[in-house]
Amino acid sequence: MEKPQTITDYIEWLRDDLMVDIREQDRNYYSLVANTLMHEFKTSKFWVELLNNLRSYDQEYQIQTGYALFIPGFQPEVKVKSLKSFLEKTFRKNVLDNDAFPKEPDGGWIVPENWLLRINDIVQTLFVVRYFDGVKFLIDKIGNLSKQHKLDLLVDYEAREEGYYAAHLYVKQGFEIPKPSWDTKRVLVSVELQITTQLQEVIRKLLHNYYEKRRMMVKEPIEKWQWDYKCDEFCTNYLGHILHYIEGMIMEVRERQLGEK
Amino acid sequence: MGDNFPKVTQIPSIAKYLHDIGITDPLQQRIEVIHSYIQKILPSHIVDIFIVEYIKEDGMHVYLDIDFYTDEGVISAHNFLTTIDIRTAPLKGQIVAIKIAAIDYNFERATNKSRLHVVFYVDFSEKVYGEFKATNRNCDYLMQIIKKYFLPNMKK
Repeated sequence: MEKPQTITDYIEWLRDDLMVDIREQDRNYYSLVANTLMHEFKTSKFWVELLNNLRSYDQEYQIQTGYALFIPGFQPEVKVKSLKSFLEKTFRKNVLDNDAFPKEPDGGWIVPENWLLRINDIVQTLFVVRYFDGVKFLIDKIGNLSKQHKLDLLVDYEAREEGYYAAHLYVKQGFEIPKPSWDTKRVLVSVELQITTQLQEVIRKLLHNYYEKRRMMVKEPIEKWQWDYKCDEFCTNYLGHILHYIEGMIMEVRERQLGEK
Repeated sequence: MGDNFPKVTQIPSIAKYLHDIGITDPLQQRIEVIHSYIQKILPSHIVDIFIVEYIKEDGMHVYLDIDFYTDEGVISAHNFLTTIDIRTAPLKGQIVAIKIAAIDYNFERATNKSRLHVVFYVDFSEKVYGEFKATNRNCDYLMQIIKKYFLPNMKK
């Protein structure tokens, strides 16, 4: 069995080897479920209270530091993952990042029967804070709130070799979603809350396409990007690391100024 | 805190003011801390409070000072979020001039675009002065403060 090299190969492989045929009705069903999840999350008590608390978090952070937590007028937007991105993620998990291929990855194949449970960012949102320490501050606040609502929360501080820095929080909630039969069922699904800094967000937007392209590469280049100063990765990845370092230094200066007061 | 004086943020008119201008629990707790210090230094019956605040060009909301009004005068805490810097002054007959500058404000009902800047002077050389800044609904409250505590205290 040949390892699928592209998303088109992967969709064919899903059909031929796992008997999973992504048809038009599956696309529509995904869209229906994803939008239902988004709607249910946006109207959940946890999310509504979190939105209501943002001003209070901002004022508390200002008392502690003298600086604002969020960029002015910031309001997080809840989005759903497109089917294309969703399939690409299953491609990465089933094939690209699966060292055991052609055997199934740890936890088994990610297929329609289980993919709502296995993919944890179908519904996602992003919080942008001004400073490095705002990430931890907001994680603590969201952690406390999820405890109050008796929701499981997983926190992952992402620090990738490619210069990507952000905190990813996964909050698990029970949602009522439509079944293909138009009945409904209750499922436990994770929603992804990302927290990043203003500076990282700027670079993230610049590099988004690059990250996506790289993540879909089947084979690593022979020469490591760290040794090829002419390749795209060299400049972009190190920019991410440098910014992270600068943000740490900004904190250092800020705390020094606070100590001098 | 174990102190006996009532919480200033729970006085109904003050609670309404804080709610109207969007002051949340953490800031209210900070106000109570400042209030407790004031009561220890200068036990006073607080009638009104006013928060001096403005919005920077980048949109950041800055809470600068807080004034506690009594029947005798005003007790101010500068940069009250992060420092303890308390001053007090009588108001009776002290004001010699008041300058009021407004943006998008009709002096009746503030909108989200309203901004108010008030400077008052306590001597004619204009060397001793105080200033207020207010945005949005806080403009209405600032005008109430000016009418109640400053205009009646103009030097005759």
